[in-house]
Amino acid sequence: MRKGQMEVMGLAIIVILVSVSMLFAISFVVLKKPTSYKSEFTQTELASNMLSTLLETTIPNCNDLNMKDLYKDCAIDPLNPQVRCDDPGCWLNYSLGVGEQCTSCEFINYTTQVILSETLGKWNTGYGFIARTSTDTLVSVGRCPGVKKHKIYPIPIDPSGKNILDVSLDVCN
Amino acid sequence: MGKKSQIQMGESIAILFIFFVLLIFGFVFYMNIMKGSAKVEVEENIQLKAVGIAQKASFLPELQCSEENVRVEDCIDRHKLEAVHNLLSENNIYYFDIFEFSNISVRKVYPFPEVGETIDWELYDNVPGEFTSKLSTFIPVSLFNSTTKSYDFGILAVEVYTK
Repeated sequence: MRKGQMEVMGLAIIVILVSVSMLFAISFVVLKKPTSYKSEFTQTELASNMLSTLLETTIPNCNDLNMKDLYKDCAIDPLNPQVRCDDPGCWLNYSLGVGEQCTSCEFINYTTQVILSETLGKWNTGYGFIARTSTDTLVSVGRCPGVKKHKIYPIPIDPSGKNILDVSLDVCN
Repeated sequence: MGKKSQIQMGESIAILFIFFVLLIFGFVFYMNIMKGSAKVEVEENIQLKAVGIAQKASFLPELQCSEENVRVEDCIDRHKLEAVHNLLSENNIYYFDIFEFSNISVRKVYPFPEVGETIDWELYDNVPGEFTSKLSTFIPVSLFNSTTKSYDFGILAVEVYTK
């Protein structure tokens, strides 16, 4: 190869290298999406606060028990729960007869759906809520495929602590 | 002047012209990149500010529940809530340093309210006449009633405005 041709080759290589580095710079600087701090914070905070607040809520129509107690009662024996709730909304939802009352399992299903649709549903935030023991699924509301923030709240349902009720909430966009 | 030197001068002028054109192109390109990254930074700062104000609101000692001087997490005292409503509006200038241009309110979601029961509390309201962005953050909180020893499900809503 002649000297002139070698020089042209060198120049071509330099031009290619400069172009490639420029492309990299453009892809990193110009096309950089802003870090979504708020969305990160909101989803994390929502998932953890929603679960703890929901389970802490006192239910006046269920002997002033809180949601955690009702979940526990349902988890101990889902086919024959002990606690009954005199709640008109739940009564209507399950179309119960006169004098009948919702069981704790019916009540937690109804109330969890109501609270989640009144909050996450109204804010157009995707969610998936599930409460299950090793043998039964007590409540399952919504679905959250793809990227999500996951929070889990384990509730021991017997004194030995062997049987655990896992209440989990996924929050997605 | 010889013909050769005239051609050489023309060459030099053409090279300089191309050089300056390339320089201007480079400068415009660089400025566009800088503008883009500045926009991204501004947006990130607005988001950080919104998160900061939401955090300050949720940890406001004027609202927090406590048991034997120990703070209860994610909880607002209902009695404090009713008192704070007036406190914040009377000391607007002091709270402006903390909450800037924002609107902070608390709403009871569950149990459903009885007739005549208050379910909305507006704590701080400083919305500018004109704003460029508004970021809303919703934080679920327990509303503790120390008289009945019960916890209601509530939402702390924080809207942050940027002028």
